[in-house]
Amino acid sequence: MQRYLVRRILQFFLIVFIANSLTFIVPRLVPGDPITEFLNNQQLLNPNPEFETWVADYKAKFGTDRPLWEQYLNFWAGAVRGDFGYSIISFPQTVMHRIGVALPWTIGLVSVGTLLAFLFGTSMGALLGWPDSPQMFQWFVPVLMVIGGIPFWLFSFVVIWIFAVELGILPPAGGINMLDVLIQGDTLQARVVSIAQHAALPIFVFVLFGVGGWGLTMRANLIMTLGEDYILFAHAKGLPESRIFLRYGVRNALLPVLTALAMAIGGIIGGSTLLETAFSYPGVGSVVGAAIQQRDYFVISGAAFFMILSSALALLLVDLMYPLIDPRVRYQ
Amino acid sequence: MRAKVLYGLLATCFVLVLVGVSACSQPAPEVIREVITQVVKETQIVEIEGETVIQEVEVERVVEVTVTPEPMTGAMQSIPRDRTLVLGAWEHAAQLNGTDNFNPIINTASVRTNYAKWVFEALMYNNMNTGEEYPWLAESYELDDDYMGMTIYLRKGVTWSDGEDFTCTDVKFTIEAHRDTETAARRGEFSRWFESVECLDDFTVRIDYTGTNPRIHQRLMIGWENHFVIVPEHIFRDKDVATFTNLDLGKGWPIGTGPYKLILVSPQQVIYDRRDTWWGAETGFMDMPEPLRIVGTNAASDEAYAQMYMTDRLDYGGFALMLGSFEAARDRNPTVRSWFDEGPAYGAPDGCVYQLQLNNNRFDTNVRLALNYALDRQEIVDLAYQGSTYVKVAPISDYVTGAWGSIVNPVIDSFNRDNPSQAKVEEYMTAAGYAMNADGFWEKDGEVLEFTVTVPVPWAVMGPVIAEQFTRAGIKADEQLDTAGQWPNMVVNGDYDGVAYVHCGSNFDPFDSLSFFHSDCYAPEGADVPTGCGGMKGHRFVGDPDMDLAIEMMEGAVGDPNNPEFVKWVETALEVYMREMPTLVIAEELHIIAMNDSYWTGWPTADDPYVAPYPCWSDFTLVPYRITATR
Repeated sequence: MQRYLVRRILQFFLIVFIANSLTFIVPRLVPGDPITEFLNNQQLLNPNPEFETWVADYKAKFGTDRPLWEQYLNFWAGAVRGDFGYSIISFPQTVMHRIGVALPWTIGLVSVGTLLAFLFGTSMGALLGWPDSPQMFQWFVPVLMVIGGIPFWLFSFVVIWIFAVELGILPPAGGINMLDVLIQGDTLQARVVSIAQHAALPIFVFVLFGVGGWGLTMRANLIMTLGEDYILFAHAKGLPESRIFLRYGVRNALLPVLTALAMAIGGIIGGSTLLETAFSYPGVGSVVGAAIQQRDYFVISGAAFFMILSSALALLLVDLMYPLIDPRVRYQ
Repeated sequence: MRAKVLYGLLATCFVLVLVGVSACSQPAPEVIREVITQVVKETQIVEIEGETVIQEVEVERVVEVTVTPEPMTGAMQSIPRDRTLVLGAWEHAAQLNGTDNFNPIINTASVRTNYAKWVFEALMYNNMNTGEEYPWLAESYELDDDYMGMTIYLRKGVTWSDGEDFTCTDVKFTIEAHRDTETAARRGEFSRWFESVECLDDFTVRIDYTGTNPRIHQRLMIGWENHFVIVPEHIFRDKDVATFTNLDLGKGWPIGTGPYKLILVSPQQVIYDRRDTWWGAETGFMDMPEPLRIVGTNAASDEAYAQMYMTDRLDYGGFALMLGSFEAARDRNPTVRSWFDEGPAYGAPDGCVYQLQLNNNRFDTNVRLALNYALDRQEIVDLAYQGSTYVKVAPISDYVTGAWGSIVNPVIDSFNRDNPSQAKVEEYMTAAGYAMNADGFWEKDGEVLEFTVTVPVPWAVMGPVIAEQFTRAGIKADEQLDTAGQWPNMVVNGDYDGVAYVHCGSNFDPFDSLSFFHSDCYAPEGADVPTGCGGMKGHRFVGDPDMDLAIEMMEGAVGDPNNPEFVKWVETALEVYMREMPTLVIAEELHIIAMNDSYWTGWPTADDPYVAPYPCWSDFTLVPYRITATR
């Protein structure tokens, strides 16, 4: 058991190390230099006769004038201190500020969306997999598959069009409208209402697309579980159907889905770039999307660091929990 | 029972997350400790008339106190929507950029896109449509006869929002901070040209240049996308300008001379409220602007901005809309309009033109002319821009031709370059030594003429049309969409055939635009262009002695359409340009800036062009003084 723990913890550090090293190196392999590019764009507004000196000053400021291996060491030294330097495209904003202001929005949106999608999806999947469920539930399978096939962003536009433009009952973009909040006297209640209104449509889309995945996984798990001998035995004992369904079926089928939920929670920090962009939602996904587009190395590395860390932590927790949940792992 | 517990837990999670986000979206007020001198009561043993007594006395003591500054939102009043001006930022972003820094010396976004232009004011504003100047913090300025310096006369009676007087010291400090701060956006030009800044008295600024320059004053006195606003010396003087964020609402920062104060800042909105007192109204210089509150907000896409217009959530601005989005917004909300009321060319010029920038090392004059006649500019306008702009053949925007039209247009028209013609293509390709091969492509010494049209993402729509037109004319062309933003480096090192983007040169006289074609920026194949010749100056045009001379003469003089000598130099340089066609200009760059008459009216339009319509330009500062509420 001890070896198992040590191996998993070492694996965690290895994952964090390798994944962060890749996200550090890969953007830098793309030819060209984003700092020169950024200053070239600045040149349109403020021509600089001493352009090369300007570029050199900025590179020194960002540390990109150093050899790659030195930059790499500096990255790890900064990561330990929680300092990822400045954003290139939003200079003089720091990476931590960019991520820090975006993080609460993403956590709010994606965690609520993930939990709701999990709740509805697994409930629906369980009902779909249970042979005694009403026939109408079978219609949901193709519906879920069709919804899952529609591009996220396209569906977002449709939802915005219906609820924000045609019906005008929900805002089309943003995370909060302080203008409305101030009109109402800047109370906590007004803020919560505004946040909830802005989050409603993206969460709706998130849940709609998440439900399919959770539902179909749960359905498959339940169908497999129903083939187990203990289910047959429960029937033979004459136990009530509801008891067999909930205690023997759903409970056992839920185990692998819970693992996936833990992984999904670990991935929350990454946000959802397309969803956040479609709704102009001020989360980490939007920040990362903009950073990738404009090759803002430092923001990419900083955001990726936290995404990797949270995913790896979730993976580690699942690994550590497994022996408790499933005794077979302990015996192995 | 368990299900109930589960649902209860989930509902609690939902509420907690929402409350958490709400709390996190607004930082809690910081508690700080300050050392102050305070009168305190102390119990002392004293002798009165020989008797020892214990009594309480008041003494001055240096004490440490805990101070809780005003929360970030400050004291906020409820101001109705119809007295609030809501402006979109000039960018597509889910978060406003740079909202943690209101130091305009190092963070130009604070004034450009985050609207601190109503906190900090400029020396002068001007109308880019007419060239008219609006003196503001400065009443006037004089250039030396030899253009070796200038003198600025400041307005008296101007005060900062904390009550301090605005004086020459503030202007001197601001110019020097731009010049001497390593990461200041304007450091390059300022350090190149501004040798010394002196205060002759409280309201007279004397600037000496390092050399002759009849245009450098424009960087101080005229603002377009480039804002030059004055910061308070008494706040900045003991700070490190390179790191000072100038943001502390509890202390009233940022302090400015403008009629608005910042009251709330978040990545979603920046909010400014009108101050009760403003020097302009107090001195009778200008009435208070009508909007009681100005909100700067943002959206991540063209569609999102259009949706905000449809639902009256935006009064003006945002990034320029695409034609389809604008028309969709106007269909849903008839109070939405743009610079021109009739389309499809609704937008206003912005000083730039669309161009296919050529690598002149690879194409001699004959081939360039053949490429020119292979281009069907009107087709590019129709297909790529859905008819929302109009054709141009010279690198001089309508902002310049407004004043210079009668001088430059006859020269441009005399060459008749906007005339797509396969016969002309054949004539010039043959003159260049090419012959059409069996596959229908031009070939010389066994090599087919190939052309890669590199297109950065913002101008992606032009690429396929240009490539198709070249191929139709027998030039084997393909389009390369530059998603990685490589083009600035390609232009510097010469690894390109043509880049389709913009040429932004002159705003005032044709000098800047034509100066890009001086031989100083030439570099042979394989070598980088000289320092300062990247981007739009990286044509690698070998130059022409007449053009070089004309550009040099223009550089040393003020661009004046009434100066016959200057006009002659403009004509000479333009004739060489039109003869050589070192770049292929395609169309005017027009931006469809949406404006919504639902709550406010009186926007700058083609019918009332009191300023250029771009919210990211300095002159937009004048708009709140002109608009009136509709309700």
